[in-house]
Amino acid sequence: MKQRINPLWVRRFIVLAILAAVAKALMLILAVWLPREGVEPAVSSGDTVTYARYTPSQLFGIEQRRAVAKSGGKQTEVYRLDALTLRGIYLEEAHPFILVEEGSKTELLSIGEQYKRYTLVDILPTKAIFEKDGQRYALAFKEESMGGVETAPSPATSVVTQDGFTSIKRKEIRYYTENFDAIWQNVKIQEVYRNKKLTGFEVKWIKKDSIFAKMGLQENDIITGINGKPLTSVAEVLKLYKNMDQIDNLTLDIQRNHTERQLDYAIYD
Amino acid sequence: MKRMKTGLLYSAAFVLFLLVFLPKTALYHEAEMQMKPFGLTIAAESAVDRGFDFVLKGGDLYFEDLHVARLEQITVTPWLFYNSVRVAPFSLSADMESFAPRDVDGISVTYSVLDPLHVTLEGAGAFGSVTGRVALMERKVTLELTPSAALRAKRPFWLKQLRSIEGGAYRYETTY
Repeated sequence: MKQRINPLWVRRFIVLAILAAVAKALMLILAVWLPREGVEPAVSSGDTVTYARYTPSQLFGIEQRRAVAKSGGKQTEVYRLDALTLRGIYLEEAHPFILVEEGSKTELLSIGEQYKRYTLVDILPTKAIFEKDGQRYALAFKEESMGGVETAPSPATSVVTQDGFTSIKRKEIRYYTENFDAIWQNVKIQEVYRNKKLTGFEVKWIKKDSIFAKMGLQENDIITGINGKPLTSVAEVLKLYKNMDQIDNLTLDIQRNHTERQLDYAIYD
Repeated sequence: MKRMKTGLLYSAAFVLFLLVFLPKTALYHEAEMQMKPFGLTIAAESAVDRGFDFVLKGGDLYFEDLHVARLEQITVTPWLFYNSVRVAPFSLSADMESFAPRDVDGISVTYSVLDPLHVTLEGAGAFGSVTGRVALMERKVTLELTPSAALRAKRPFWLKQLRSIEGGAYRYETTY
């Protein structure tokens, strides 16, 4: 009988089949050592922190204090920078800077930095001063750009301490929960790790007269817990931040000069 | 010479069989276990083994119990000598809206035997673009963010928290 199949191909097929079987067997052995089911997140329902209802505003008759606007600086400059839009002035003592916009481009500038050959030489409460070719130019806020700009100064703080008891108006808490960036205008914090585990957040810098300063926080304080919950994860902090405007009492556990202490606040409407 | 050529072909075929029979779903579960200590989990996803790669359809990304994003598709290419995880365009959850612009064009994480000590990361979206590198021996993560104009305008003070580097980019480094 005439052979229809080339024995070479039969042999190759058999070798490939054996290789496939060996590969499958190896992978089955590997699969034995691997988990059969995945990981599901342990999603907690609702807020993880319990709070007692408390309205100190009713007890103490607290009213929001309004900050007095400061007057501007000298106005001796002649030229204006109309191509640029001033979006924000940040009068941080050590490193003041401004935010400028040209078209869709936005730049942060500190004193001494250049933008299109204009050197920023001074920052005043209401305008920034540039210098080019020995001539000074003032860049001030445009009227239409002031409304709703997130980099505008934070609202006057409502933190009130009376009889050793500190209260914060809920509206102000809400402002900071809705304007994430406004927090960083007033404070700089950094994670603290011990044995590669997050143990808290250190206050590296705090703006004088800001809400955080009036709350009693100081530079080098390490915030280790909020409302009894240790800050051992960034997610915990994000959850607390998200729910911050719903709470009535706030307690910060802090380490100051190697001693533990608590700062308590009531939040009022 | 011919025997050598045949041997190479059989070896290549064996590697292909290994890749096809690789228990990708179980490996994915193992990867989930490895991600768990970092607080990252994906829930409600469906896994599809496509032979040479592996696709996760749908899924909610959680950072601990915080919902971060709803993911449409993740393509995992476990080729042993070249491994990648590509996340298709997605939006961050409403919970994250306060922190970052929501739309993300995609994220890609790659590990290759050509650079066995590092894992690389690339991503882009409304926030701008980010490149990253994980030094496996040093257990160090370095991320470089080039913020978009929108992020610069909305989060200038948050950006100031990061270390500014040349080219308008910002660097964040951490160890694990």
